Amino acid sequence: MTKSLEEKVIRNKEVKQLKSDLHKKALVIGGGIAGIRAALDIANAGFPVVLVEKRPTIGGHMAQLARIFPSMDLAIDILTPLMNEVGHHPNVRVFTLSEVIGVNGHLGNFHIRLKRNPRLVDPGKCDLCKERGSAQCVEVCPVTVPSEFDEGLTLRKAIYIPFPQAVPLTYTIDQDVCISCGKCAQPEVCGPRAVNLAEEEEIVEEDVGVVIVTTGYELYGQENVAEYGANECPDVITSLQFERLLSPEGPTAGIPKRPSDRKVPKKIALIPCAGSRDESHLHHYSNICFTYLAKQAILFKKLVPNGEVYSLYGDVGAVGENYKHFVKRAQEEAGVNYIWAEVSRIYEQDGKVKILGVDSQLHKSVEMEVDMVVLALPMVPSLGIKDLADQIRIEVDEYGFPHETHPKLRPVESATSGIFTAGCAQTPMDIQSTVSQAKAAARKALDVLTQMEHAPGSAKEKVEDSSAR
Amino acid sequence: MKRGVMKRQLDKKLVLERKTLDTCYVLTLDDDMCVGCGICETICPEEAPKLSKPVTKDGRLVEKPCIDFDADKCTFCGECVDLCPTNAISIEIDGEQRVPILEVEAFPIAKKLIAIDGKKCWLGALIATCDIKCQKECPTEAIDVTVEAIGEESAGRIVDIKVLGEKCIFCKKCESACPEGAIHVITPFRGSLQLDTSLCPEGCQICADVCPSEAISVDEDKKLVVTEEFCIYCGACKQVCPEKAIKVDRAQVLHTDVQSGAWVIALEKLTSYRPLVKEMTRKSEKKRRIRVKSLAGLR
Repeated sequence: MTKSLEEKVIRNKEVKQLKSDLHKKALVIGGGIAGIRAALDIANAGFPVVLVEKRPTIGGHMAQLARIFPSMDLAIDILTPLMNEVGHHPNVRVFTLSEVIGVNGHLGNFHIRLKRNPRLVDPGKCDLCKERGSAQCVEVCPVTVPSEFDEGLTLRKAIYIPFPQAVPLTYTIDQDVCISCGKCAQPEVCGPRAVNLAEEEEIVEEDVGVVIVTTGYELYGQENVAEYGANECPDVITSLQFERLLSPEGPTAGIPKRPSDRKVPKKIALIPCAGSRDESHLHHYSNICFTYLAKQAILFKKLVPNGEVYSLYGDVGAVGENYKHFVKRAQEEAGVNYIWAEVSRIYEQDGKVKILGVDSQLHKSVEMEVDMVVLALPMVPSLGIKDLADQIRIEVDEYGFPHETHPKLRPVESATSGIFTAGCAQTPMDIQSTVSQAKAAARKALDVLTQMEHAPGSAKEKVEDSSAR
Repeated sequence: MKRGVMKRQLDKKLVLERKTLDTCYVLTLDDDMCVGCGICETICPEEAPKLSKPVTKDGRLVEKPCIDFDADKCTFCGECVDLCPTNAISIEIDGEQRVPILEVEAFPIAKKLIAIDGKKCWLGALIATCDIKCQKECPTEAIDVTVEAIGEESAGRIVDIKVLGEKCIFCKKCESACPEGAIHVITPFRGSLQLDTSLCPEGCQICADVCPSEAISVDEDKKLVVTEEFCIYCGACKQVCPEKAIKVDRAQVLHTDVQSGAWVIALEKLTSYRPLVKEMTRKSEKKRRIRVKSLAGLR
């Protein structure tokens, strides 16, 4: 046996370290607050970044929010400087209306294929009709669709700017709904001839060293929770819609009005976990729904001083620093009536919304008549994350969120080295945690980028050594 | 965005309602007026309307094909409202009947006209001379003649003639019925209708059942008779024919002059490549003529 070992050692050859090029560039997928923060951190360290966003503007869901807890700052005030900084940073290339369609390679050397959907408006030529006062192209557009930014509370045209602080600030034609009448392209409508309806999609190829996935979240479709009256009652709204109603720059200029008759609601009910931790819907927990509803209650009470707020909760889910105090504040300052109850049905009756349920404390049935109901729908992974995860070979958990390698020690790394995840792409979380995760991911990415060259074979080599013993 | 459009069936009307904080759009499809021709399905740029299959039994029509709208796809542009041959679709914005696409002149208006010549049919004329045939022949009850009786039961005098625009399908039945030639009708579609009776199954008269203008009718010998004069080229008969014995070719659509890419697409879908080329050539020739004229004027 000793002899055979000896023989093996004699035949052993020196292992040469494999070396490959390291592309000192990072790719960030998703232009929400996590993507913006991560891109800025890497760009400020002096490395080029490619930021990819599928919507016409960066900003993500945070741009829609009214105020953010616990400091109660206006979300857009905090976000706009960051959006502009990343939009005009010399090291950052922002690709809006783009999607990642192919990823090849390995740590330090990823080959990325991006599909750039046509904007159909040339941002270089469009002067936003500054001299004319109002945008002519929007006025002549015959197509109206619900606005994504206002969560369907208002309408937008097929040619539009998502919101006034958008980056890049230029018009976009929504190709899915445009009927190509060509009205906006006419020279008398668009003076600088910025509209180009013949523009086609483009494939861009990039070589990068690291990838950060910050694809964020989406709300579970309201049509899926029929027992909460989502399909019949117009006055049952989602938390993001309520956020728009509370926003000073929202469709009602900061005065919450209910959608059915545009009256200010006096009595509202908030329902956290509408569809999450539910056997018949989704099993995961949204983490932040309880806290943001408390924030919305405080905001609502400030805007409607004689309003009444009820919260029909299943569990107090106020996780995070001082959030328990925050909920206390909602109780004391806004006088929110917290009722420990399970809601079974919501329906409309005589212009009011009726809630049926069971009080879990008193074991009695609850019947309530309110003006408006706000549902905190579960946060689910954004559309297309499954395809992306397959492309870049990262693991997703049972709910579809990309998985971290170790929840405690490696919170932003994915199973594939060189690919990091941060923010709500990973699991529902608040803005504070999202930003710290984005910063952590950026730091890990910089660890790779700052190496002079990369040796992918090193890990394998160690394994061979141990087998020889 | 899913939120916004609610679909409801209200006594023989399909209603799509999109209510937002500032406006309320309502699209109504009247099932009684709809003949199931499928023109809206053909031209819709978003492919929102879908035509169902007709129900037939023993060569008779039991249920005509129906249009169902995909609530998530409709953008309330109004192309279908403009081109529906039987005026079955309407859009109301905040309770007011409007067609967004026509308001911004992004689509031409299909040329439809019904005019009554006051010199030939004057108010006060005795009904004995014409027997108010226009009212009797109208398949959609769009003509309303008010008669003032004088003395005996059958005698009377015409006091007022009203044409209900929302009901008229411009089929020319009244034009041919009027003995005085007082009514003038312009149908937006021009083309040809061919029925190959050799393919018809025994006793089948589904096409005659569905035809809104009685352009295909059944005579005493239970044979199908085509009166192309009354055809509005909607193609409803083609949709229900079980044997593909009917050919409806639209060769021209009369419309107002408007520059629109959407119209070019719609015209090609409605007719075929050839009429489109014809119209394009005509337009470019017109443009050239204007240019030459202006150049000549400058010199």
